[in-house]
Amino acid sequence: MPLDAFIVGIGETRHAPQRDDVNTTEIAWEAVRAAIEDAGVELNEIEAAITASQDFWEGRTISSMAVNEIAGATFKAESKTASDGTLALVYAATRIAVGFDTLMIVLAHCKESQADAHTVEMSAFDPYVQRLLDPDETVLAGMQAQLLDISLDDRARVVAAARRRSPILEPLDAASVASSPETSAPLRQLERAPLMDGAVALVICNAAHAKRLGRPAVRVAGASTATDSYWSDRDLRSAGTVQPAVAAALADAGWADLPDRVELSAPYAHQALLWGRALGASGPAAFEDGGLCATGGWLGGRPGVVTGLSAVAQCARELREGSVADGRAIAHGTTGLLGQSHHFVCVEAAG
Amino acid sequence: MARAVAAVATGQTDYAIRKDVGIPELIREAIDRCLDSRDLTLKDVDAFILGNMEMFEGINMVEHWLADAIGIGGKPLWKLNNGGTVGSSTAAAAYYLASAGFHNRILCVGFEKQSEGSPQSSITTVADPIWERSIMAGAIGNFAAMTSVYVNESGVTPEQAAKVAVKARRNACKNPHAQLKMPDITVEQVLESKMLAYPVRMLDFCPSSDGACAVLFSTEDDAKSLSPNPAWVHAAVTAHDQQYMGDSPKRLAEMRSLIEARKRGYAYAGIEDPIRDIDVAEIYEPATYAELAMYECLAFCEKGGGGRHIDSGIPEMDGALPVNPSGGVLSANAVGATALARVAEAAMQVMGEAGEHQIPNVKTALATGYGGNAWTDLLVLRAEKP
Amino acid sequence: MSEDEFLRLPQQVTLEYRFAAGKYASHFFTTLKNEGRLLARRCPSGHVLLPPRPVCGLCNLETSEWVEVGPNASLGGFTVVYIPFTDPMTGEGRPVPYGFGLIRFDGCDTNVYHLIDETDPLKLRIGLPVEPVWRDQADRTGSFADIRHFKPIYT
Repeated sequence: MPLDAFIVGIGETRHAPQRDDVNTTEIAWEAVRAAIEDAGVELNEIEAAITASQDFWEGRTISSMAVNEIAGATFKAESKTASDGTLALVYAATRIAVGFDTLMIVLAHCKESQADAHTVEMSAFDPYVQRLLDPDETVLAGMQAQLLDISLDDRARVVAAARRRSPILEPLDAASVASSPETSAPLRQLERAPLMDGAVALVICNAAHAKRLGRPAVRVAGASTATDSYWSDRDLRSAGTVQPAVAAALADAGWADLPDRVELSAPYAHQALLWGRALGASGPAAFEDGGLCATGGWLGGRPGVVTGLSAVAQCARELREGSVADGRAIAHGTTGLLGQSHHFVCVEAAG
Repeated sequence: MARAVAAVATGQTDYAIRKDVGIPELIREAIDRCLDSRDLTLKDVDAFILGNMEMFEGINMVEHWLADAIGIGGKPLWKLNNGGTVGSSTAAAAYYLASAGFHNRILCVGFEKQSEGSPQSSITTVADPIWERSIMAGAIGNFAAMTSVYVNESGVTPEQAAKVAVKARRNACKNPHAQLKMPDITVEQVLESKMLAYPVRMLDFCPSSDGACAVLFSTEDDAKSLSPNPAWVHAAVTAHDQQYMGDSPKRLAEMRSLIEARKRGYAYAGIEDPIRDIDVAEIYEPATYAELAMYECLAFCEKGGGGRHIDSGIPEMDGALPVNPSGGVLSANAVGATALARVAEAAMQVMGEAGEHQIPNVKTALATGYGGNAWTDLLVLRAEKP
Repeated sequence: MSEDEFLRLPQQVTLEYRFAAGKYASHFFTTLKNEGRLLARRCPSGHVLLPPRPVCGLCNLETSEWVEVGPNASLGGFTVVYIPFTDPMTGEGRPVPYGFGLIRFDGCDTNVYHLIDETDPLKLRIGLPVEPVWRDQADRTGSFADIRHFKPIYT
């Protein structure tokens, strides 16, 4: 059956590299409050919430404990997916689809500035053998980039494009990216998305509620998620499950082809190009002209866990405004080292 | 139309300190038992939902590391980590994802290898870092303070609490997976066991185990071909509370999330008189006093009547509404698995596969999960399709 | 293989964090440290909440004002702990036994956990008045531990 949930409220925080003015609860509330105001609903009306956060980034077991009140879930339901925020939206949409809930909050949040990225990432490595090398994701990404035939110039252009298009971070030219310090050969520091603090919240509901609210809504038409082998058991030159996942999402939405509007989420420039290739884009031009990552994506300044939901939010905004020609968009999120899991959400203008 | 969803197969490891297996082998034990019971393989599974409190074992995104141990091959992989409720939350997620037709056959796997981590440090990270961590007394101290409120409200006695401990460890003798099997345990032994935090004694509290549990869910499209007697999900409810540990003034005495979940769950499942309408309950009781309080919050008895309820014999295996014939959490507790084990045990009762601890003629079984900040999951499983 | 033949691989993972206290905690802890006063948040329905926070979960409204609570309080729950516990803030073992419980400050609707200066549980009861024993100003760091413990007021 179709997912058939409607996005009626969008809230996104002022993402920044270090939001010392707010703690986790407060940054998440910033997003939720904006979303419910946008939807024209009260927190009291929310029936359930699905949230996305990663305990190791949060420094807290059951990190959703920090946000269940502000997500409107006191005495109500809240579950947390430990993944990119797109999966929180998918799970929430199924609850709407079966008629269990009619009005929900979807929330993704992370304060990357609070954690030590190296150790958080290192903790995701195999504990028996790999951790002894004290690795982190940049080390892996460097290894992956070595295997790919993607020039530094192309990678730098992708980052420059992301920065230019981003409403969050200052622009950077390709030359600055290419000459930034080397981190893990052949990668340069600025090829990796910066660590950020931020949150995105959506208010979603069923068709009847969307109609009652009488505001422009965006329909979640379909979605998919697909997980590959662990990084050390797969061919790092391939785009992994990007292609099968996008095909599954299109099939789920009943769409014959990929929409023009695609919002890709990739933390490293070479991955943006690799995964973009799997979506039919060739080279940095697709990022420069806004075909992928129109507002910069992850490289443009979003926390990792939030990036996919931010991509949905961006597509939803544009669909509401009517600025997407064929009224369809697909947003992407990823979870796991080196894009082990890929998620896609298809959204379309409703009504 | 939403599709009906059922648990069609279950598997559990023995709950114990397991020095002989690493985590991948531990979960495969539960998974293989689950799938083998129906002559299925991993190829027959469409999607996976893993539940684990990863800070306990110190492995970030542990499910992604385990992807090959479960033969992921490009399939969907979900991960929940909601604390003690995680296991039942994975079951609830499976219900919604399958009912909406997003996935078909979903394998839920809950696991914990507590002997590998540092439980005390991990429990510390449950506390809010800004407000709660600087003053902490661990899970038992926390729980015992709540218990004082319940004892004050209800007047339950240590003897009545001890009866719960006796029931659990004697029932556990009929559960091959349980960790604490004590056929000769007496109320006196419980009352003489070491006082951990007043009034909670050693034998009043759950153990710490390694273990894994797997439950395969499917939909009306093929449930009957997978299992002779599927356990159909009639309700899957989750409820929370306020945010900080001290917020709920009568957290055990009036567990707001459990009361809320009970009202909604019973309404969905058409349960009006629990003793009459429910044939067996597998509830998540971290300690004896919690079980007494839960009898009240689940409306098995009147408010304040938890002690009288255990005295009455109704929750015993031969009583009108047996509670935790498996031995419950008091007999085995691997956090990531425990709430899923309640669902598995409830499903086994409906499917007629609970072996020595099978309750006769189970049509309706209740499973609850407890954890997080006094959160509740509640599922109702039935032999009859909704 | 026999149990002894299975290897255990010891490993230490040290995770460091720098938590932003945020708007409400910063104001609360600064006031606690410098003035020895406790500030809670009241919502439009009148619920007084400690710790202070942006939203009242009981009515799903934003909290609207600061209100002082305590310093006197009463016991909302209590226990005496006999098992060893490593204080996460110091890495040292806390001397056992120690009293611990739920403290309800006068004027507040919620409880907070804290230490109680009493090791005989039979002397404690729900509703017993208690008062905070503060650390010297110079030793305060801006946390709940700036209150050393709560002392029962026996009459």
